Amino acid sequence: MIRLILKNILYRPVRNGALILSFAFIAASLFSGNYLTTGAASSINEEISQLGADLIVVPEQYRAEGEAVLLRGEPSTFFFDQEVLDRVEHVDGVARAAPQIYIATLPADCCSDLVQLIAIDPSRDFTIAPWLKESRKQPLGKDEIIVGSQIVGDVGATRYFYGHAFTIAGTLRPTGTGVDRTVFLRAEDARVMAAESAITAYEPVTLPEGGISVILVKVAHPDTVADIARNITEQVTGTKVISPGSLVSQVAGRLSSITRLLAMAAVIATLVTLPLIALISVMATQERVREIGILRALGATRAKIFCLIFGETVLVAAIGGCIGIAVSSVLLVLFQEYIAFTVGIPLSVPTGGSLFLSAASAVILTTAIGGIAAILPAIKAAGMDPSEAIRSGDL
Amino acid sequence: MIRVTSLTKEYRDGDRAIKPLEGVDFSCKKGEFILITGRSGSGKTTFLNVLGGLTRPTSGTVMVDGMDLYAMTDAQRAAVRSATTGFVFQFPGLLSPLTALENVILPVVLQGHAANMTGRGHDLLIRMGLENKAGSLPSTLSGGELKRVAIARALISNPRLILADEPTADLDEETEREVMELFREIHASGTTIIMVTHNRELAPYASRVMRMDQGTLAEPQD
Repeated sequence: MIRLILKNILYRPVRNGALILSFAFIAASLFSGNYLTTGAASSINEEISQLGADLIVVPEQYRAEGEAVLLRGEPSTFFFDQEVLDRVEHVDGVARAAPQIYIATLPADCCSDLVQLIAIDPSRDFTIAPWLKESRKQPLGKDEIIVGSQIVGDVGATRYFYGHAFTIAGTLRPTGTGVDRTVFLRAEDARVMAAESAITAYEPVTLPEGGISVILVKVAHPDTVADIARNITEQVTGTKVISPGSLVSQVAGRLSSITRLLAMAAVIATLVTLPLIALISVMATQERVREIGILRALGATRAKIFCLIFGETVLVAAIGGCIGIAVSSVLLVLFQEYIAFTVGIPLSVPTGGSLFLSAASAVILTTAIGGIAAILPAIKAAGMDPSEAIRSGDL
Repeated sequence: MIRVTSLTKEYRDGDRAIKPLEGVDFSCKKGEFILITGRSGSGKTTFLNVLGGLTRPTSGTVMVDGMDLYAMTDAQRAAVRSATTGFVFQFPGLLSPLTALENVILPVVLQGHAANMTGRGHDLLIRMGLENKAGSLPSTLSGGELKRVAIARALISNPRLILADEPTADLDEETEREVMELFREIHASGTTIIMVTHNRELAPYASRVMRMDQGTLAEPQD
């Protein structure tokens, strides 16, 4: 039976090719929307897990810049006073607080774009330290750097920032976020680099004494994150708190227009193609009236005729769905960076499970659309009087 | 083998009532070759379709091997049809996407018994003189070849009854003779054949000839 269905599909390549394309478009629209949403969420989760922080405290007026660094790796340099660190540490529920200094580089030899340098205090840091521990590496030594996955250079290679030479000690795993374009170094090395930059760099960098850019916060109890974020904002004036939730909702906001567009494309494609597919199915059935009559004469039951007509459209829909997902997957992966840059979101390949779920749900939906379109023609074909069907129509 | 009693078929064409069959009584013994002749529109094809379980009569009964064909469900009738009856139509009625061999074994594929039937399909094609055409699509076959593939298809289930509707229509004289010789062979092997045709010259091939006229069936007087 399946063989007969396949033969029938292959025998009408133009019509079924057009149907497959329509179903592929619907599946691709559904899948892409899902891919972008889950890819962005997975990227942020990866970044948060990489940073190891529950909250990130930034100067009130630099919240947007802080988010831009985290989400898109847009380099920034901003500071607030170190005394903020003491006040954040004293907010109830804060378990650990680690300062970081953000310095945007000049164009460097590793990268075509500007790079974000993040200087850490090794005695307080919980961002790089766990990674170093996990990788059985020594604590970050003098002039050693840990680089994001998109920074070019192998371990042991030398990179120059503001004329200061650094040695790559390790590369972080890809996150699809700003972390991938970030270089981590020790705060004391950053201060030496800044001091030397007046001589070694054609555009020197100045780090204010005691200045820090952000404070990464780990809370004592994960379920109190929202309360502690509110407490920090209220108790430590001049600060704003970035939470994973706020990053996700900001990305969701950025994505909403594109996902809405993709959802609309899928809905419009469905609305346009559903009656079209139904019409094509009706026409195809009309053309095959005599064939249906002959099959009945040869012993096919009504149920078999229903399965044959219904199965053809459903299989075409499933093939279209799979092709749509395969093509959109390739395009999404190939143009991942371009999409992330254009839309302004972090993006990484979603986890296998969520990817499979997105693909499966898109194929199921597409197949269901095919099934809806085919059900009436299939019922009509199954209900035909065999002798009437044989008498009329062509083969 | 077949007993038909008071068979009537009536349908409406707009306001007009049409009765292609009117009180037909008929019986056929196992192994007979019955030729039913008659003019176009006399009800021959309708009668054949009723015998084959393809169209329900308005009244009357059709008993096949003691079973009332129209007391059965549609699925039961389909099962009886595929197990006992082979159809040969006026037109070849082959499915265009399928090769000659695939068309031949189609009835057993529909029954779900296709396994090991390819060999029998090949044998039938050889018997029809089409051993080199097994992989050919219908669009590449001549009229005579198409007809022979259709006959092979009718024989694949080893049916006890062949219902043939004008099987030689549109064929040239030589091909007509070849096809009728095949039917003679099939009949000689013990298969019951009921054939309808407007061509009275085919009468010598049959063991009994009947004539259908305006929905009634009778033995010819001449």
